[in-house]
Amino acid sequence: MRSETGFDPALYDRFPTKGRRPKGEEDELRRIWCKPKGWEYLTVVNNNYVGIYYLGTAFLFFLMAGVLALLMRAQLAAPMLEILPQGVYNQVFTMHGTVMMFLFAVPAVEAAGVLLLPQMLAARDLPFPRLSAYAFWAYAVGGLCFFASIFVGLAPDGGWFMYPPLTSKTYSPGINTDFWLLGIGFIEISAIAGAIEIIVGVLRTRAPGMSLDKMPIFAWSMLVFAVMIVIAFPSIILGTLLLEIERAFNWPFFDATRGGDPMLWQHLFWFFGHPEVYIIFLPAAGMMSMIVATVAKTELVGYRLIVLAMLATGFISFGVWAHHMFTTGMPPMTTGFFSAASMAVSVPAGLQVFSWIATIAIGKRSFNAPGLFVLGSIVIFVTGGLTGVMVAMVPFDWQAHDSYFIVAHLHYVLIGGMVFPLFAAFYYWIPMVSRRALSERLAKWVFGLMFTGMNIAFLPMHLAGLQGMPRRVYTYLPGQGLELPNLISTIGAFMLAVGVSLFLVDLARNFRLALDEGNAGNVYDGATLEWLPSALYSTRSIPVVRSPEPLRDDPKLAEDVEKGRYFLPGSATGLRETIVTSPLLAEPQYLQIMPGPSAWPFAAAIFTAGFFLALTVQAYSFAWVSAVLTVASVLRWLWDTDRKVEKGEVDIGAGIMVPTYVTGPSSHGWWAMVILLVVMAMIFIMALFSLAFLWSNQPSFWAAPPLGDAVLISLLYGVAFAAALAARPLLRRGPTWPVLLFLVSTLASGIALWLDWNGWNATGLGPEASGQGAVIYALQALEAFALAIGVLMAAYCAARAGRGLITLPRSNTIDLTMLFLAYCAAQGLTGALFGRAFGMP
Amino acid sequence: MRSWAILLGGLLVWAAHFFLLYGIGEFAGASTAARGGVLILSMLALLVDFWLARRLITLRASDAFGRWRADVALGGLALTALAVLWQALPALIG
Amino acid sequence: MILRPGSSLSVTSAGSGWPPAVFDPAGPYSEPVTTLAWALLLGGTAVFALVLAALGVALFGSAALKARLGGEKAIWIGGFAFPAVVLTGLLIWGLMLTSSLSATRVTGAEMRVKIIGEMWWWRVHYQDAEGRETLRDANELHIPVGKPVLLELETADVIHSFWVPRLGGKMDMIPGRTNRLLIQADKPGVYKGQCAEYCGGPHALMGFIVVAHTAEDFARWKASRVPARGEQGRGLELFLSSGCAACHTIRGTPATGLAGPDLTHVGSRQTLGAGILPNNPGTMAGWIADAQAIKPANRMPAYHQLSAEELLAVSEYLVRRK
Repeated sequence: MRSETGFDPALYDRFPTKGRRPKGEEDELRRIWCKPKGWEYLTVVNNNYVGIYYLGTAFLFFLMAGVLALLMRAQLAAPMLEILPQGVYNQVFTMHGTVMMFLFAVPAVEAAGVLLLPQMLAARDLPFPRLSAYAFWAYAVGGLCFFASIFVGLAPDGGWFMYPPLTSKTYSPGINTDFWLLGIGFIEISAIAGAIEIIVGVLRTRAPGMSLDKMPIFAWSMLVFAVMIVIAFPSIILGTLLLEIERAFNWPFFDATRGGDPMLWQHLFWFFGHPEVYIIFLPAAGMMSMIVATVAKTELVGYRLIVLAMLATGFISFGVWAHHMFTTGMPPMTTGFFSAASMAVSVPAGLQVFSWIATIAIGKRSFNAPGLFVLGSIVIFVTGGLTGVMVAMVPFDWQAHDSYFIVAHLHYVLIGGMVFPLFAAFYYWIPMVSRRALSERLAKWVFGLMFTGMNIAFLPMHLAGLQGMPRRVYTYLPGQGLELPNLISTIGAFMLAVGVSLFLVDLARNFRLALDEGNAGNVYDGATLEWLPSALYSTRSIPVVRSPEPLRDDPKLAEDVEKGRYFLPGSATGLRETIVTSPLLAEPQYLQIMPGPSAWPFAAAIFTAGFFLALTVQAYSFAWVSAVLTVASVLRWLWDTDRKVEKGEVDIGAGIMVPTYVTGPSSHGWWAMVILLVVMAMIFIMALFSLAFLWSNQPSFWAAPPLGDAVLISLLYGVAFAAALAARPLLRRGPTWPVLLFLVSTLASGIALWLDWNGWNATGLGPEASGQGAVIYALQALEAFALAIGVLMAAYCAARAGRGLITLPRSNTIDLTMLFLAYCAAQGLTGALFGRAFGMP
Repeated sequence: MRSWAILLGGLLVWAAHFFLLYGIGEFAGASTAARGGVLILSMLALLVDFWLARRLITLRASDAFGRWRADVALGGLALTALAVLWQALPALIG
Repeated sequence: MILRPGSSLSVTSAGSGWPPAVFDPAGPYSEPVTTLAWALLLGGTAVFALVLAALGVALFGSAALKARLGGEKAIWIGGFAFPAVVLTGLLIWGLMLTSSLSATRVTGAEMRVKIIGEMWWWRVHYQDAEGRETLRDANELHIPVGKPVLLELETADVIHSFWVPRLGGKMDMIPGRTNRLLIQADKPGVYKGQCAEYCGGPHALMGFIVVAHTAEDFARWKASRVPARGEQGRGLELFLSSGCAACHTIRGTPATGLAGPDLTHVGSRQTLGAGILPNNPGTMAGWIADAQAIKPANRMPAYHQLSAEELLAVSEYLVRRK
C-alpha cells in the first residue's frame, strides 16, 4: 500500500522546512492554548489538565481502597478478632474490590492515556476534549459520593461480583446494593466515553507518517484497551441495569423461582469481568514495553510480536469468562472449552514477558527507579501467570476456586501486571509533567518495601487457600493452621503500605506540577514523541514520523520541531486545532477545529452524578430534574460545535492544503458515533443472549410469542430505516428535508415499538410474570430508551435548522442523527423478531 | 477494512470458532452429534487459517507496512491455530 | 462466660491445617487432584526458576548468552513453543481428570444424600437408592468408608458452595438447579468442610463436617437413628413453650418447625452452630442464650428471657437427643 488516501508520501520530504518562521506564531499558539486561571480550572478541557486530575483522582482511590485492605488485614491478623464487625467487614471487602477495579485500575490507565497519548502521537489534544472532561468529572464526583457510602454504613456488601440472589431485594433489602448498581452504572458510562475518545484519538490524530507499525506500543495497548472496553463493558452495563430493574420493579431476570436464572448474571458479569483483567493489564504492559526499551537504552525487541500479543489477548480474553464458573456444574465439555482458551490466553502474555527479557538482554543493565519496578513487575506477574495456568486446570480449580489461593493469584496478577508497571510509569513520566523528577534514592526504598511487602503479604495466601480457607470471610476459626500464614500476610500488607507511604513522601517533596513549561524533561532519554519539548499546545510543530523511535533516529528532530519546521507550526485558523490523519498510514486528511474550555461538560457531569445518586437514595423528583439538566447541559455544550470556519482549506505546513470541515465516514464524529452504536449494539446483543439463555435453561416457564404482527412491525422499522438513510443525500435540497425524514423515521419506529409492545401485552405475558417476560420488555425498554435519544437528536436538528446552523451541502449533525436513527430502527427490528423467534411453536 | 481483516484474520477465525463452540455447549449439550460438530468446526477453522497463511505467504506485500501487517497476521494465525486445536480437545476428551 | 467459636474444639481434630487439606487427600475424588496440584506446583516453580534464570542472563550473562536471548527467535521459543508443548500436555491431563471425576458418570451403586444450603447452615437429607428420603439431619454428614457418595446439592436461598477439600473439590449450590458431586473417604475420620461461596452475613462461620465410619460403625450409626418416643420432662416442655418448636423439628414430639435444623439427633452431633462450636451442655446453653453473640446475624434469636436453670434444662434435654 503506497498511499491510503491518495496523499503523496513524497510530500513528507518537504520537512523539515527551511527558513525562519514568522514572529508571533508561537505566541499565538500560547494564547490559544492558554493556562486556566481561578475558576477556569474546573472548566478546563485540555488533556494535560484533565489527564492529571484523572490520574490524581484514580491514585486517591488506590490509596483509599488500600486503607480498606489494611483494615481487612488487621481483622484477619488473628482468628476471631473483632476489629471490624461482620457487617462492616462485608462492606469493606466489597468496597475494596469494587473501588480497586472500577475506581482505580480502569480510570488510572484511562487517565494515563488521556495524559500521554496526545503527547506521544504529537496531537494538540484528544479529539473530543470536552468528552474527556465530562468523563473525568462524572467519574470523580460520582466515585467520591459512592465511596462515601461506607462512612454511613450504606456501602454495598454483596461482594464486587454482586451475585444474585444474595443481591436481590429479598436478601439485600437495603439501598447498599443500589449504591453499587447505580454507582458503577455511571462509572461505566465514563469509561465508555473515555474509550471512544481513545479509539478515535489513536486511530485518527497520529502525527503524519506514524503508520500503525511505527506507533508507540503504549498507543497500541490503549487502542486494544479501548476496543475491549467497548465490547466488554456493555455486558456489565446491561447486567447492572437488569439487576436494578429486578430490585426496583420486580422483573425476575435472575429469580429461578419465576423463570429467571442467577447463572445469567454470572455470565453477564464475567463476560465483562474477565476481559476487565486484561483491560487493566494491557495498558500497563504497554507502559512496560516503552519503559523497558528506554531504561535498557535500546530498541524494543519483538515490537511486532508485542502488537500481536496485545491483539491476541484482546480477542482470546473474551473466551475465558466461564473459568470463574467451573464449580457451577457446567458440563465437562463446556468447561473444557474455557479451560483451553484460558491456557491460550497465557501464550501472548508469555510472548510479552520474553520480549521484555530479550530487550533487557540486548540493552544496558540499569537499576534506576523505573527499571527496578519493571523487573519487580516481571517477577510478580510471572508468578501470578503461573498460578493462573494452575487454576485454568478445571480439577485444580475445583479445589482452589473461591479460596485464598485465588486471592493470592489475582493480587500477583494485578499488582505485578498493573500496580508495579504504574509505579514504573510514575517514575518514568513524572519528569514530563513535574519540575523535578522523583528521588532515585528514595525509590530504592519504595521499591524494596513494596516488592518485599507484596510477596510477604500474598505468598502465604496460596498456602492458606490450600489449607481450606475460603475467600470473603470476615474471620476464621482457630486451630486450622491458619494463624501463622494470616499473621505473616498482615505484616506484609503493612510493609507494602509503608512503601506506598514513602512514595507519597517523595511526591510531596519533589512533585511540582509544570504542565506548561519548565518540566524536568527527558531524564531517562526516551525516544518517543512525548519527550519532544512541549507546552499546553503539545509540540510547537507536528513532526513527520519516519521510525518507531523518532528521537533516537533523528537527533535533530527536537530542535526542528521546536523551531516550527514541521506540520502546523502555528495556528492556521486562530482556533484550537489538530491534524486528523488516516487510520493505517496516518496521512494528513483534514484539520479538526477543537472546542475550548467550557462549563457545560462539568455541569453535565455534576447532574449525571446527581441523577444516579438521587435514584439510589430514591429522591425521584430530584433525579428527574437532574436528568433534564444533564440533557440540557449536553445539548448546550454541543450547540457551539459543528460550525464551519471561514477558511475552507488551510495550509498546514510546507504548502500542504487540507480542508477544515469534513463530513461522512472519514470524519472523526462519524467514527465516534459508529463506536457508540457498537456499544449500544453490544448492550442489545447481551440482552438477546439473555433471552436465549433463559429459553435454554428455563423452558418450563416459556410462553408462546405473538406472531401475527411481525410483518407490519418489520415494515414499519424498514420505513424508519430507509427514511433515516435518505436524510443525508436529501440535505442538498435544504435542511427541512432531513428534519422531516427524521420525524418520519422516529414516528415509524415509535409505532412499530408500540405494536411490538401491544402484541406481547395481548398475550397476557407481563414483565413480572417470568424471566421471558422480563427480558422481552427489557428489550423494548432498551429500544424505547434509544428512540427517546433519537427523538431528542431529531429535535436538536430541527432547532439547528431553525437557527440556520445546519451546514450545507453536508452536515455532521445530520449525518450522525441519520446513523443513530437508522441504528434505532435496526435494533428495534432485531429485537422484535428475535423475541418472537424464541419459543415459536 | 481490508487491512484490518488481514491483520486480524486468525483472531477473527478464532472468535468465530470459540463462540460457535460455546453455543454448541450451551444450547446443544455434549451429545455425539455436538462433539462431531465441534470437530468439524475445528477442522474448518484450521483450514481457513491455513488458507489465509498461504495467501499471506504467496502474495508477499511489496511495501514496509504491508510486510509488517503480514508478519503480525502470520503470528496471529499460528497462535490461534494452536488455540483452535486446544479447543477441539474437549470434544474428544471429557 | 462468653462463648467464642472454635475455642478448644473437638472439630479441630478434623484438621490442624498441616499438611494443607488439598495436599492431604483422603479419597479417590481428591487424590488425583492432589497429584495434579503437586505437578502444577513443582512444574510452575520450575518454569518460574527458568524465567528468573533468563532474566538473570539478560541482566548479568555473558555477551554471547545475551545475544542468544535478545532476539525474536528466543521470544518465539520461550513465549510460544515451550508453552505450546507444556500446556498441551497439561490440558489433556486436565480434561481427562475432569471427565473422570465429574458426577456425570454415576453407576447407581453410590450412597445418595441431598444437601441443601441455607443461610448459614446445611440440611442433610439421606436417601435410599431410589432417591427417597430416609433421614433428615443437619450440618454433619455420616458416610461409610470406601463407598462413593453422590451428593445432590441445592439451595434454599442464595448461592452456597459445598467444599470438603480432603474428600473432593467444591460444587456450588444454585437456586433452580441440582448440582451433583461425588465424594468418598477411604479412612474413617472427621473431615472439615466450609461454605466456599460468599453468602452474606456470617458466611465465614458456615462450617460443616463429614464423619466417615467403617462399614460396621456406619451400620451401627444408621441403626441408632431412631427418635426417642413418649419422652416427657421439663426440658421438652420448655422447648415447646419457649417457641423453639416454631423453627425446629424433634421427631416423636409436637415440635415440627422447619425453618431451622432438625434437632432429633442434635445431641449426637459433634458441632453446634454449623461446624463452629463443640457440642456439650455448656456450649448448647450458651448458643441458646445468645446465638447472636457467637454467630452474628444468623437466624437464631437470642433467648435472654430463659433463666439459668431453664437454659440448663433445655440444653441438657437437647444434648440427650442422640
